[in-house]
Amino acid sequence: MNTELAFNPADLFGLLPVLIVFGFACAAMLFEVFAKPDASRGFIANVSVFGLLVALYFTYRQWTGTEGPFSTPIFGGMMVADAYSAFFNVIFFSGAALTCLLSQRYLVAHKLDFGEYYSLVLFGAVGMAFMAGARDLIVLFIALEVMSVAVYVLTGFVRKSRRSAEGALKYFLMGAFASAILLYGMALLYGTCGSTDLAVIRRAFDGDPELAGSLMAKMGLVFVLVGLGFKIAIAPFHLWAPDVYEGAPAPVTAFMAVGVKAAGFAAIVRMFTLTFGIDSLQFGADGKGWVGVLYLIAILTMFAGNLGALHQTNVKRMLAYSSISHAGYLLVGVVAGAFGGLTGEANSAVLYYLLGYAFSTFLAFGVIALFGKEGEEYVHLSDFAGVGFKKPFLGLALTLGVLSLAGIPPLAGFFGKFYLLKEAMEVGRPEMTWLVVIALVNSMIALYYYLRLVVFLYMKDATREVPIIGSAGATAVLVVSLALVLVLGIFPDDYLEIARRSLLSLGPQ
Amino acid sequence: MTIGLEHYLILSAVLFSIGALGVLVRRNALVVFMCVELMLNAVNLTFVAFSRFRGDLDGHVMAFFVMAVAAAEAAVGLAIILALFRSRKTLNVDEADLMRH
Amino acid sequence: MNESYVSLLVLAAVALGLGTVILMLNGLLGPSKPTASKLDTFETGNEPEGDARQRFSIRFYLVAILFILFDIEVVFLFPWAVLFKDYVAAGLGTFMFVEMAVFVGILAIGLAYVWRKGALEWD
Repeated sequence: MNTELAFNPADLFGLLPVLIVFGFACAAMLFEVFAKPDASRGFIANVSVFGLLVALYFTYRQWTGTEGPFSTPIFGGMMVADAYSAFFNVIFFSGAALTCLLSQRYLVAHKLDFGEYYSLVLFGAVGMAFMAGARDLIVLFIALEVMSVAVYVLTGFVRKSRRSAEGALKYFLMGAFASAILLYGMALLYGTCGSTDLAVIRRAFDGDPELAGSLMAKMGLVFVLVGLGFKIAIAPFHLWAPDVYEGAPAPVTAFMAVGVKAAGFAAIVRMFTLTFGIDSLQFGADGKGWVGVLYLIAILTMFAGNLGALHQTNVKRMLAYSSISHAGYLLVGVVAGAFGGLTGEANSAVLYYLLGYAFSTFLAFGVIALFGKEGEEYVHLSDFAGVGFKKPFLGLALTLGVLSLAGIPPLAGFFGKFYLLKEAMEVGRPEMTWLVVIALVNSMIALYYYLRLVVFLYMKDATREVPIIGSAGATAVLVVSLALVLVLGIFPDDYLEIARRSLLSLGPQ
Repeated sequence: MTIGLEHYLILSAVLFSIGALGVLVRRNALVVFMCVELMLNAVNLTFVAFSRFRGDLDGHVMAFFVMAVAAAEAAVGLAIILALFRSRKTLNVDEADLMRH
Repeated sequence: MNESYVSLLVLAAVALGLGTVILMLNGLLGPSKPTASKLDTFETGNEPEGDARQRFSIRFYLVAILFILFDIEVVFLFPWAVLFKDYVAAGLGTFMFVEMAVFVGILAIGLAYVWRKGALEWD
């Protein structure tokens, strides 16, 4: 931690997008209590979306304001406003905006029309943004908690629903447990290196192989990995995810699947790939270090997600397992990135993949959130039977969403996966080839459950009347996500370039 | 014998393990949560011990933030536990099994 | 360990031991002839009413939760207050004051929310 104290206006500009979101989060909270008690809270959603759009505009200004991969340390280096965090901010802020739009009518229909909801979504996004920009263990931990606490509450937002309360309890207990483990890891790293600053930790490890190989450093690293692993639901720490994703209201599930996961990967890539590097912390004589551990976890996660999803009849639960498997594919990229040079192509593939995954997920959940009426979501597989013909647009959106998640060309999910696996192959190590083969096998398995949903949409007859909560906001979510899924898949070059530039801003530290 | 860094570290490791074990074996949601708090405080002890041993302040600062975060978690956690208790009339985490497939 | 503490240790041991021995002797030697009226809750003979373990109103929890949240922030105010004079001397007084004003301002927003929400009303 840097102890220099002085007011620096550049700090405020670097942090401006996040500060705007924070300001609107506070405003949403105050609107809730100062508005007329019986008035609709829909306007708070509009205000929140407006705030997020302003924040996105300033993120864009940051991006275009400088040439090349920019990186401005703020708060004496405890945080950084670089292209990398700007890239993730786009995912978080647009994800939060889509969540707000999607929730507007959902909350009214489910009789949950409270302004705190939007405030919590915004606070969650603030936590995520801090996580992507954290360069100090203290900031990283607080950001993680800001995000987590907001999402715990959102999960249990349907107070009358037992599923929601149960999901929230599980998420909370697991999350708090994971935080404690993560924190212990941080304490050990701090004890080993004498600083909570990631750059100082890197220098300490680089300069002293004995220190990097010490038991305390290894334990610290393992604990940090376990703690973050819980948050992004990688095997064997994924068991809470299906219950929580099922219990949470559908828009919140989408927000979790996109935002929390992206924030976790933002922290993992920055922390592991750049701070620890491949040479530090070797677990075995083969010198693979933590990469070897991630390698095994990637395989486990892919299988756990895809095999778990096979027999699910609850669509939310199925997509929960699917999101676990996507964390597995992303880990393939992280491993390849570690093997193939830190700011190499494989890590930019991870970033691109996350972008495609985010909008595909919102496309799928945007449709699922519409199925239901007060107090009940209609999310059984059979509830989607025949929807493809009755509601052609919803059918098309859900189909393209799951096909993109499955990795069918020409959608965003396909190109993301293709590019990710291609880069993993180009690392040129035999064990990476095996990992790619396993990822391909898993994609085949995944086709089964994704296509089964499509079969239900178009080839089965409806078994019961399914109420649908349509709204302009939800249509906007679907149109935006649909457009982005297509554009990202068909014209990937510009977006790849953006991902590369973001990654380069991490630079050699 | 003087009390050195290692004694604090051993004590905090033991406390942390007791907490972790409690989370894994206890069934009452409140007790599980108390065990998590024990783990957090064990970590705080580690931070403060390292900080004192090294003579810098980072660990103390971290301990302050951990306390604040633990309070926020406690508030949210108790609210969630109360919400579940209202609907289920039990605090046993094993009975929170609505979503087994 | 420091030898000067040994006397304290001896004192503690003697105090604990003496207390234990006297209490045990009391139980062993004293006559014990309980009757129904001797075992009554109140020696005056008043009948006890209701259960000692009654349910508390949920409001206690709400107040307790809010108390924890706002109480713990003193942790950040305290070091700031102790060091404030040094910062003024170093010419950073305004900066530090504004920083803390921002912090307290954010807390005030939370307080305003809680207040308007009616969480501080007892009835």
